[in-house]
Amino acid sequence: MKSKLKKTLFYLFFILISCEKDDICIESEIGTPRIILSFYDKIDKNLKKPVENLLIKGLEKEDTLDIFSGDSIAIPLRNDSNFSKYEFILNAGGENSNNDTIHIFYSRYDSYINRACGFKSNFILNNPPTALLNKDNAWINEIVKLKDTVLNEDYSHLAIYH
Amino acid sequence: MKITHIWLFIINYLLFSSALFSQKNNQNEDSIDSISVKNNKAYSIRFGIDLSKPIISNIKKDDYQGFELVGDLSFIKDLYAAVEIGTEKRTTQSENINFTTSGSYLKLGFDYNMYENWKGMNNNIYLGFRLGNSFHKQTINEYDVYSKHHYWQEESTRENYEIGEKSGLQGRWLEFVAGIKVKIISNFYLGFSFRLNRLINHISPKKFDNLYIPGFNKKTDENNWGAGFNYTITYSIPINLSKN
Repeated sequence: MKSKLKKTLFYLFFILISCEKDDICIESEIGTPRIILSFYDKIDKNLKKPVENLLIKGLEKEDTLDIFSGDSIAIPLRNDSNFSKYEFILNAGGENSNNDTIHIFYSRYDSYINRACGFKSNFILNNPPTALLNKDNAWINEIVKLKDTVLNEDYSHLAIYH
Repeated sequence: MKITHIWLFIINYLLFSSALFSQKNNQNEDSIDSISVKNNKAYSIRFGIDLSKPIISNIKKDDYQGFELVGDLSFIKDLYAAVEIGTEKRTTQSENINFTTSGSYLKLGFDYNMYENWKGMNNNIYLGFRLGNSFHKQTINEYDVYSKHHYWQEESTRENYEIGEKSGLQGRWLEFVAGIKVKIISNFYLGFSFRLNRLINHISPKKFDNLYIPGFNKKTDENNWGAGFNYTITYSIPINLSKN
């Protein structure tokens, strides 16, 4: 009787602790979407016009987000604030370097994904969605909203004409 | 850490000494029983508490408070009507969400004893089931927005419409029970049971989920199974219905 009891308890204990499942947020879940910017020609507005060596960094931040060449880029929006400030520096470090500072304005709402991942943020872009802080010598000509909401990373949300 | 060790010592002491006690009692009661074998039908009411919940409350301090009353009543040989009533308040830090669940629950069901006792003994190795129902509320204390890109190094979210208490929640589940009850000293029993829970339905907060259900335990995604245990001490009141 005594050994039978001990044995039963021993097994029960291991059944019990082995039932604890790990909660890990799977990698395929994109979570909070980034905003996607596409670069277009300021004259022929349907023509994509790639940028070269564009340095992107948050205003007043030390570290660079990216140095980028291409026609579309995804950048993260702050999920603890209703605006994000970025510097877009064309030909960074070169002689004809050109720094444009952009504010992106939006409102946020968070939606529940699941237990492991928790919540993600979604963004609704303001009207107008951006403000260009430096009026003089800007390399960016115009920014136009293509989508009102940032819910995923499947489409471009803003068009930047330059 | 120290308190954990003390509790472990108490648990072990009770468990293993109980096994010894129960053997001693076997012999005594066996000899007594030979006098009054005919009339001894062991109908009884047992009631007591789950010891594990105050122990865990003591170890986890602010993160857990729980209490459970248990009872059973034998009405046909080897068949027991069983009940558990409890309250729980638990704060959980999951990967990204910190939340507190509090509420009470009621479990009703039957246990079937499969252990053949000596005459007059009432030890059990049993299987059973329960229907459980909880009434609880859930509060999100704070959460980290899930993002793969941490360029801005945002703070945890502590203030918005998701933060706060959601009440009027319920869970309903079926519980499969396997356990033992052993007599330690006259009329006192120690019990341990392991439970596998299958959620039937639940009322969850709007645009959110029940992450923990009092009595049911942790609720995982896309999986309606949960598990639990209790470790009880109960006092038995014998009732002799058939004197003649």
